[in-house]
Amino acid sequence: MVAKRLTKFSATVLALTALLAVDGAVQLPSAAAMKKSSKAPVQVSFWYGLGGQLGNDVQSMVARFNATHPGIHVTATYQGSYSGGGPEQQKLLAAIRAGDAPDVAQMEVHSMPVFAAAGRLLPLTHLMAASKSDKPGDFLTGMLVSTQYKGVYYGVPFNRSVPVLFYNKSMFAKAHIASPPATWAQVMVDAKKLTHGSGHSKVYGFEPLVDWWPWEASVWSGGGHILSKNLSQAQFATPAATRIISMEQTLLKQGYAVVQTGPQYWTETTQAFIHGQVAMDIDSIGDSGEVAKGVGKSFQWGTAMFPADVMRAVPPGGGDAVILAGTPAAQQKAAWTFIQWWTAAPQTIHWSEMTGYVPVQKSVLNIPSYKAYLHAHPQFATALAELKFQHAAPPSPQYLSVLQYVQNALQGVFDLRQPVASTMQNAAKQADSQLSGN
Amino acid sequence: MIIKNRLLLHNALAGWLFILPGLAALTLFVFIPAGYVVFLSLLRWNLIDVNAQFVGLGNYSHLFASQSFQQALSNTLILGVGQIVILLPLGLLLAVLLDMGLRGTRIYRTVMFGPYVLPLVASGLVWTLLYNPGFGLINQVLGWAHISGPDWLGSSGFALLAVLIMTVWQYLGYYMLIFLGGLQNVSAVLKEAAAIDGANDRQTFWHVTLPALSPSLFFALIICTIQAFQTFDQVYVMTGGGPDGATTTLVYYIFDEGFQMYNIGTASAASMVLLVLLALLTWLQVRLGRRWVVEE
Repeated sequence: MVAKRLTKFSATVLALTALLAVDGAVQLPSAAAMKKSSKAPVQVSFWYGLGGQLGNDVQSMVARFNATHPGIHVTATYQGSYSGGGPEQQKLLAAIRAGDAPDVAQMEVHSMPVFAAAGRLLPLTHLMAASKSDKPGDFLTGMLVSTQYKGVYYGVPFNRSVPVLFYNKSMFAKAHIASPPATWAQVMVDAKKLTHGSGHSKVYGFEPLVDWWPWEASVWSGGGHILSKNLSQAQFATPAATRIISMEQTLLKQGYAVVQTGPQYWTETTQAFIHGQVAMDIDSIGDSGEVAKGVGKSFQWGTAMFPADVMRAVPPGGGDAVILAGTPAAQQKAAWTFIQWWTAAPQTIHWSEMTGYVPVQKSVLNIPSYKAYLHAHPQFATALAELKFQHAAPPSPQYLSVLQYVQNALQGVFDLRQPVASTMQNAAKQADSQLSGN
Repeated sequence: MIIKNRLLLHNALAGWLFILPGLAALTLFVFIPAGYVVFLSLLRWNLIDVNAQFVGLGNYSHLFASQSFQQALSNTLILGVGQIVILLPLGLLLAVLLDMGLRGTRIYRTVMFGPYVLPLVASGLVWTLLYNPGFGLINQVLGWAHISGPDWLGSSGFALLAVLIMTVWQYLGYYMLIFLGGLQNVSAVLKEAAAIDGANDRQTFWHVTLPALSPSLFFALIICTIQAFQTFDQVYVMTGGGPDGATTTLVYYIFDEGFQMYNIGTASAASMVLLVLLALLTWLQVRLGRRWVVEE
């Protein structure tokens, strides 16, 4: 009997040792922490919207937090994609309405105004001001453009990205092009040089991403505006605002560019680059992990900043962490501890290296190990350099609706080759109707 | 007299008692939510704003002036007519063939019914791959015949057709089975009588079998109409309503307005239009059905 018990004990010890060995990063709580945790930990519910491997990465980060913070237990639940209007947001809408919202949620950067304007998010300005690590000045320049509404901070950068230009270095070398294009005028020239072959084996010089996210960059870079200053009118159909998408459409019509259609357009855009079907494409820096894995040693590739035109401007991408209004005080405190832990240098670096999203704190740039990482992975240096060119999207609670009209129009322009001016004017008319409430 | 009235009252009470559980469930899950949707359709609201703005019939007038709504309505009608025109005759033809007692009938029946058992989302994913312009099987097969296949899901001319083809594939087995059940219920005596009277096979089919099958046809017509008007899953998976609204159906429009754009009022108004439209169509079919449905 004793032997059996001992065997059971040994098995338990072995299992625990194995568990700890699997994740070397897990830290055992200190004795003091154990003592403190004699009370039941504060339970924090956290909704996120990253599936697949990224979802596993979120869970591993949360497990690390829970292991090192015995007084708090964060329960992270995947709720479907966090994209603007995605399943996580739909559930958030329903949960808020039902009075059963989570304490913390990942929020797509363009969706903040809808929830902030309705008073459903906890203002974080005072917490950030008092924070040791999450003061507004602690974040990389440009990182906070999406986290405020009417001068008040409601979010903290969580999983952030920017659109960049991916280019196939091997094809550039073959075409005797020394460097990636810095401007749209150069994209037009290079795309022609890089296009070769025919039929199924044709390689296109350029591949725009048919999505409103890089479209925002194209409006600003061309010198245009998306909405009027008072947010009551769409201004994205002006010649300046449509300059770059007109250039992209020209490349498409001339056979120097290709676009991916259908609901999987984004994945297929990334895949076309990975498979060497295009020499350049616009994609999220967050997809660089997938590109690196997919390309392997097939060819040399790199990233460059989203090309400039009249000016250089990119939208923020990804998500921020928010605390929901109505969260009890104890949970608020615990949630804020969790957010600060997530954005602190060791974690933001670990998260960035694990996923491909950019780190969010300035302090990472002075850490030698991260400097070495950037040297080995120069694609992230491009993204970091681009962060300061982030522009805030128009902070209108109606903005998600406007983007739906824009997305349809972009499909018209790129998938169906409709005239740019009239298509965008039509979308602007629909957006105006939405903004004015008629 | 008093005793008779009491008895009637008792019977009526018993009747109400029997339907009470069903009625309670319907009230809770259908009537109250439907009433709430009517109320929501009069508001401009995103569900989370503290103040909802009462706009009366503003959402309805916005709907009828909206280009996207008109496109969604037209797409839904095209899908509806397409499904009725293709699914019902084809389902009937297959049912007649299977009813002949040919060899391998059971296998064919199972194979034809197979797609209906699959979840629409799974079928949608498979068909998205089949339709892929780069590596999809359909364009590869067309390529063998030196036909350059279109970008099925990425072009406005083919996307709705592609959704229709997939829907027909999904539901054909279901209608075939409804008709097969109907055919197997057609009285052999009637057919024999027609044969004795000298009717040939074609005459027997048109004048005996088809009228006897009319209740099944009527049921299939109503279900097919409702199914077409509720088209959502395959659009969500295969096209996301695109390109440029080319495959947006009424239900997808409701989803888009409500949960992508947070226009809960407009989405609710569109839901009411869908309800009224379906009720009208079903009423019309029932009225017309009385003329041609032969109930035994």
